[in-house]
Amino acid sequence: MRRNQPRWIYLAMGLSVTVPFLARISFQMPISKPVQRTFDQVETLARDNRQRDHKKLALLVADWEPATMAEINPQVIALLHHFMSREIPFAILGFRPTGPSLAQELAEEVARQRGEEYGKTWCNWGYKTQMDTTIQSMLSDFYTVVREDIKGTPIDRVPVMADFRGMEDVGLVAEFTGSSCLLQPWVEFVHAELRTPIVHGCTGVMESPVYPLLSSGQIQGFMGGLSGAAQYEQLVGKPGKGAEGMAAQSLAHLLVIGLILAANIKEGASFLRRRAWRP
Amino acid sequence: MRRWVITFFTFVSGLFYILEFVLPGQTGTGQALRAAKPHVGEAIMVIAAFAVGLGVIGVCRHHLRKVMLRQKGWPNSVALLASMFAMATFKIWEKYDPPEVAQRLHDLLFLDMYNQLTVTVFSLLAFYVASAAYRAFRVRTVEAGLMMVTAIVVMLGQIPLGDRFAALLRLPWTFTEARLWIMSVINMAGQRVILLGAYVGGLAFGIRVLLGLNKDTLLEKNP
Repeated sequence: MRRNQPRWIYLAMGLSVTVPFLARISFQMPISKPVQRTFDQVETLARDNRQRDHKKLALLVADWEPATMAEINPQVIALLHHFMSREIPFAILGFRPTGPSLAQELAEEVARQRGEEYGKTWCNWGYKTQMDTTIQSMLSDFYTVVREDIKGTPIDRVPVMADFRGMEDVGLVAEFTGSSCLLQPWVEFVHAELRTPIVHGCTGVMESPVYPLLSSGQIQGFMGGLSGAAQYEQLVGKPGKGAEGMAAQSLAHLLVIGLILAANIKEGASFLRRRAWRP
Repeated sequence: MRRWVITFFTFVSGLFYILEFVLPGQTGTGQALRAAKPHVGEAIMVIAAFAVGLGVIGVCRHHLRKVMLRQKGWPNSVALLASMFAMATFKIWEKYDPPEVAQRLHDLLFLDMYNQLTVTVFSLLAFYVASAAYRAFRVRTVEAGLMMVTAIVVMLGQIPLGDRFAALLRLPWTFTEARLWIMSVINMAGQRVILLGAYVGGLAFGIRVLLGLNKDTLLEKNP
């Protein structure tokens, strides 16, 4: 039994993450303040855009990789539904090679559901290297850095970019990543110079370094992990993978808590037994 | 000679960005630096592209040698080289002459293999975490006890069932609230301490690199 212990634990974990998906259980989530603030920031941009002659873009920074897409994809899908429902034009940019193509797939999927079109609703600036330098150069002269979109069309010929003058026309930066260090340059350069609101999506384990930035007002909102995605889905009224995944995550968390408690109770019992037998 | 060349270029590049940030944009020098910034940025990207090329050459040399000398683990090196060249070939083929075959081969390698393998490796973490929780998380000290209680509260606060437990136990607070308090008060204080320490250290390190005092940057061995 002892030798087979890891196998039983693996089996229990396997069942706890697969059964809820098959049973399609979903839960209502209490909305946390950081997620509500993210939602409010998008609403503010939509409201401001209605009063402007030309709309400001939202910039979706796609810095996540396949490893973290189980948590990040549902967040991005919910946010894209929100952008499209409020007619907010957006651009995709990434500093991780896989990010812009992953974001493009999601945008195409949401656009198909809502009847939107690439070029008119959004465009993809593609993958860029050297994050710090690129962001600083984009602030000085945007068109030197971004010359064409992901499909090779000159950027000034993409309809959604027609009125775009530079980074001052970005009304919101939405940074999605599994690594907190990729958020920092947006705060240091874009928020510091232009006061552009920044919202952030990250994995559950990367939430802790984000709180100081939220409290100091350097970012305006964030959603963490699958739980953040489920809450945002609720806010936009589009339940999806986030809500579905919460059941699996709930059981997995309960299993881990149960295992920690069981191991410590066992340890405590054997300690007491040893002490009782001591002469 | 090499030492002086590296020190000179490091110092000038660092000084450029410092002056560009510090000097007001309205002054002549400030304006000139600001206008030059995108071009300096482009130059840095070109240098970085060379670094990627050098990296590829380095990887190839290391693994080709391993394969030719049949060193331990050489089949892994074959797999690495084959994957690297296949991915590069199909991506370049697809970009410059996009026939359907190139697109499909690229998608097969990237979407159907690379993405799925990465996801699979990452998802294994859940199993290791569960096993480690059982085998390694022992409360033997007060600190470990505090850590366990905090971890359990944060985990319960992350899931919707947590608040139902709180209601069942008739607790005066929900686990969601407790988690938010832990994250935005206790965790934030700790994070700020770490960040401040790291940034002060980063500043000191930056000055050492800029002045050419850091021997690692100059490709010299420390004594």
